Amino acid sequence: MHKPIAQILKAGLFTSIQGSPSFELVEFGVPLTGPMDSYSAQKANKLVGNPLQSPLLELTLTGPQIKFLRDCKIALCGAHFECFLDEKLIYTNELIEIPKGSVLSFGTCIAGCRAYLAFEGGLLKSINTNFIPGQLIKGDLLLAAPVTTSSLEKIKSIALEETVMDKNEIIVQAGPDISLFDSELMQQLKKISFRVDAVSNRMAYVLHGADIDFFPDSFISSPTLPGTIQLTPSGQLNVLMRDCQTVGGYPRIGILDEDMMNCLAQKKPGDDVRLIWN
Amino acid sequence: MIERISAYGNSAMLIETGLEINRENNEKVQFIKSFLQNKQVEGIRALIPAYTSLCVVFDPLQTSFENLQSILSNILAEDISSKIQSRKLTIPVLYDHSTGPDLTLLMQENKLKLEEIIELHTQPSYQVFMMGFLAGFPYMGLSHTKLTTKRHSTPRKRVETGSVGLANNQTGIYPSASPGGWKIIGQCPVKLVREELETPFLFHAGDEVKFRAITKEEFEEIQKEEKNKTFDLSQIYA
Repeated sequence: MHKPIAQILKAGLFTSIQGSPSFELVEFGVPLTGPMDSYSAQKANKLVGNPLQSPLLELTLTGPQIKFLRDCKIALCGAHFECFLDEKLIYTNELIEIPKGSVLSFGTCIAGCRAYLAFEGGLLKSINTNFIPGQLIKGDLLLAAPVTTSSLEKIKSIALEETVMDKNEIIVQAGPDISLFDSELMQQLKKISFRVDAVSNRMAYVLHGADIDFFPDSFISSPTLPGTIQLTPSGQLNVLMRDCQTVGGYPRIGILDEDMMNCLAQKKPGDDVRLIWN
Repeated sequence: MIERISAYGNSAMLIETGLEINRENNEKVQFIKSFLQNKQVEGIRALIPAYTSLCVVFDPLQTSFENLQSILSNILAEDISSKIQSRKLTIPVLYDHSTGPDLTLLMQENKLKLEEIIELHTQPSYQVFMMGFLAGFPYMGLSHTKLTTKRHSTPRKRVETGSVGLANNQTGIYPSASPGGWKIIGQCPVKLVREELETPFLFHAGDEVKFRAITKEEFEEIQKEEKNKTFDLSQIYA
């Protein structure tokens, strides 16, 4: 058994361990999961020399407080938080050496919504004493995989995209059910600015603003993938995210690519977005 | 066989087999799924079946929409009736007011006696049309028309693990406790999430299912065996 690398002193709004999304059990209704903003997560892993899909911490809006139980190396990417190691301000997008016993705390989230904290070696997925699936709570212990002879040099050379935190234009591709909607309705959708609703989470972002009273009479539940935009009978749009259900009963009017999902994942409740229909 | 094929983003294809939930349309879905599995197409990441549709998730670096389309064009020549071999499951259920909190409501709404509900629910052989909503939740149909019922307009805050429910002309079992809107008529003491199985769920899409009414004593006996991990699954997979 490995010695824990860190302990959660305060949980924050929603802190979870996210690793590589898995298609293995999706046909039985198991969500893919994985980091909401995959580029920022990959970047954090790259900085500490981990394989890009290694499990790491995802932090949401209000960061956790974490005590390190061993010397280690970490990196923080994604949303810009005020972040302190004991009393000292630390920066995102850097490799940080952490002495045993120090405490990492988060202040205001200045831009974006989700940050990624990678540990050298990568976290192990299921180990916590008080483990609620997905969400970490106070007292949970984090275990890291042992650090192997680092492949850091190789990983350093991988070029990664950046997630743009202040971008509010989301490009949408047509979804498989777009033929159910006429061009007039599509014209209407193009003019609307949407607001991210407070109920938005890892399962779905709810976008308000559309005042559309169209819904097909009967729609048979059919597979759904992360990135899908559904139109619901109340006229709101649901953008399905990484923990979404694998089947759904609302028409799939659009779909976002990986880039755009990452971009949306950095929007917080109350933010405005425009959908650009491709 | 195939009603419509459409792109679902850059790395998935949606295949639809019909516009109505029935056995035939769902058998086509299962057939297309096993057809693609047997072809061992490189680059297919997942095959997600639903009532009348199949989602093929692929790696665009290894295959393409066009490539999959051309593979599928050979499917018409295949004989569907000879290919489908489904597993047969018998599921024990305790139909009782203690395990079926909506029995009273259903008896009133559908003007049925408890014995009639049990009779009607255990009579048909159901097909698992798809899995979803909760990990391991089987959507099964079609239930008897006399049992047709609407979901609760406000979902119940907690439905217990193993609860057997009705919604429209379908029946399903909750693999874990969850909020839910199906009308609950009984409970199955056998666990649906099973770590010891290769795919850790009791049901697969395409399974043939019959329900068997059990007594409270038998229900408690199975619960005990499940707790001690001595329950013999061969009773289920007849």
